[in-house]
Amino acid sequence: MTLDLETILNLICLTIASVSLVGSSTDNNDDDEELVKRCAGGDREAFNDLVLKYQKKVFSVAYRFVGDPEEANDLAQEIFTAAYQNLKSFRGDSKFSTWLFQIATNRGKNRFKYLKRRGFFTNKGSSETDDEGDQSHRALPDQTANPEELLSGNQIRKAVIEAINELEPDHREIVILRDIEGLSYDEIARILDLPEGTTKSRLHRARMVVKEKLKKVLS
Amino acid sequence: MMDCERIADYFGAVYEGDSDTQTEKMVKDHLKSCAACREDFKWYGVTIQALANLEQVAPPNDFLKQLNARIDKNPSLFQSIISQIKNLMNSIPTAPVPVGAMSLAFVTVCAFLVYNYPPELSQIGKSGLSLNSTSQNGAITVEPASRPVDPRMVASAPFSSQTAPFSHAYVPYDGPGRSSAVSWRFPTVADEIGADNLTVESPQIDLALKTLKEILPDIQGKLVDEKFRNAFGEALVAVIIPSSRYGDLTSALVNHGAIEVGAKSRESDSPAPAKVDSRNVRLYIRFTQAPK
Ligand SMILES: [Zn+2]
Repeated sequence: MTLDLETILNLICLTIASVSLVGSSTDNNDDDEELVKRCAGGDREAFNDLVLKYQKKVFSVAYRFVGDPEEANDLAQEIFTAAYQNLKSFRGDSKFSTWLFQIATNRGKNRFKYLKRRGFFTNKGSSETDDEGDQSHRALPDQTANPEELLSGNQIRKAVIEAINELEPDHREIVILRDIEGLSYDEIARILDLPEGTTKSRLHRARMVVKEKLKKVLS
Repeated sequence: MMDCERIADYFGAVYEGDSDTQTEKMVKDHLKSCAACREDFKWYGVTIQALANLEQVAPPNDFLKQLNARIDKNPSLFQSIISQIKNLMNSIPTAPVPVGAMSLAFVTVCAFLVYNYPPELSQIGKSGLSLNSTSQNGAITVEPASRPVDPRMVASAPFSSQTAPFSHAYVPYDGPGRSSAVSWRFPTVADEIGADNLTVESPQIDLALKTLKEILPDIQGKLVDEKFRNAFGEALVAVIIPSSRYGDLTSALVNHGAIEVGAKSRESDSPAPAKVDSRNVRLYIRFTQAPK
């Protein structure tokens, strides 16, 4: 399978556009301050509003750490419970969303390590696609596949899930935040309390690991 | 021209349009002339696209309702102990531990949270219980601890002398891949006073300590003593907190960047927190340096 440089560069432009869209939409959460204050003062409605605002993102992050809807639900609830119980110690040094994502990634990483040690992810990627049975044969990339076809295939989804399940926790965490959830480098650096340069180089290493696995499985 | 090994380092920056024009031109020139790197760069792009294309998942419709029910159950102490056990098991670098062992460990820890020997009776090794999980079948035995008394443990207590510097439950893990022989390591402050109920592993000990001090007033706790041993990059503090706020304390530490809160490096002999009165427990917390 070959691709010309122009196709690749077009793909790049598309990605840059989508990443910057997501990035800008997560950058404007200072309006949580009022809700957070009310919530710390015991206003449960304010807390519910914060949950409704962030439940999708938090659930999604949780799901990417554990790869299972039930575990993700339990983990997401644990994250919000921890936020509720610790809101009084939230000093407002960072945005509420940054603080919440710190809780989410810490808890997510711990749960991932815990489940991994128990073999929870063994064959997880393949079992997720078992329902679709023989369809996976049709999704196998062939020599003429273009990137769009390749990317829409079931095979690649399965391979990606298997690849991220095998990542070490720090790599998995950063791939989730950047490439799956689309947070900005600035936000990720603050969540993980890392210099932005370290954030980028760690992400690069994580992507290279996933890339090698995809290449091995799909080419 | 840049060599192939170095070119990959720029993939991320070039892919995201984050490189200066000179670098970008160098990389693109290389890609034009090198089929291997071009192929690699294509897969780099495919990887990022494939990750971004993973399907979206939504929380269940009654997520908020479930959450409020969970919070209203006020499970802080119960759940925090469960998660402590999970953390403890998580930090032991061996094969899975049987659920039974976890449950029994949980029961044992609970028992010692609510039960306390007077300090003068606390001869370690006689009053304690040990919990062993054997490697072959995961069977569990509960027996009086036969662990020899470490002379350092009953000697002087650098902390306030009216408080028992050690407590009474030991939960040694003797599972697969773990020999019962004691491995040698540097003695720590905790060894000297024979206690550390909780180990906090953090890349920034200062920050973790600061967090601890900040949250103590919020949870009606107080700092009793504080020791440093910089040569080993660790700190040890003694705190008294309401037993019901144990979960809040550990959550706050985790939420402020601690990597592990559990019995990380002393899992074979981490005692339960000592009860001070009907409401409060004393905890010895050891802060150890985690790699940044
Ligand atoms: Zn090359």
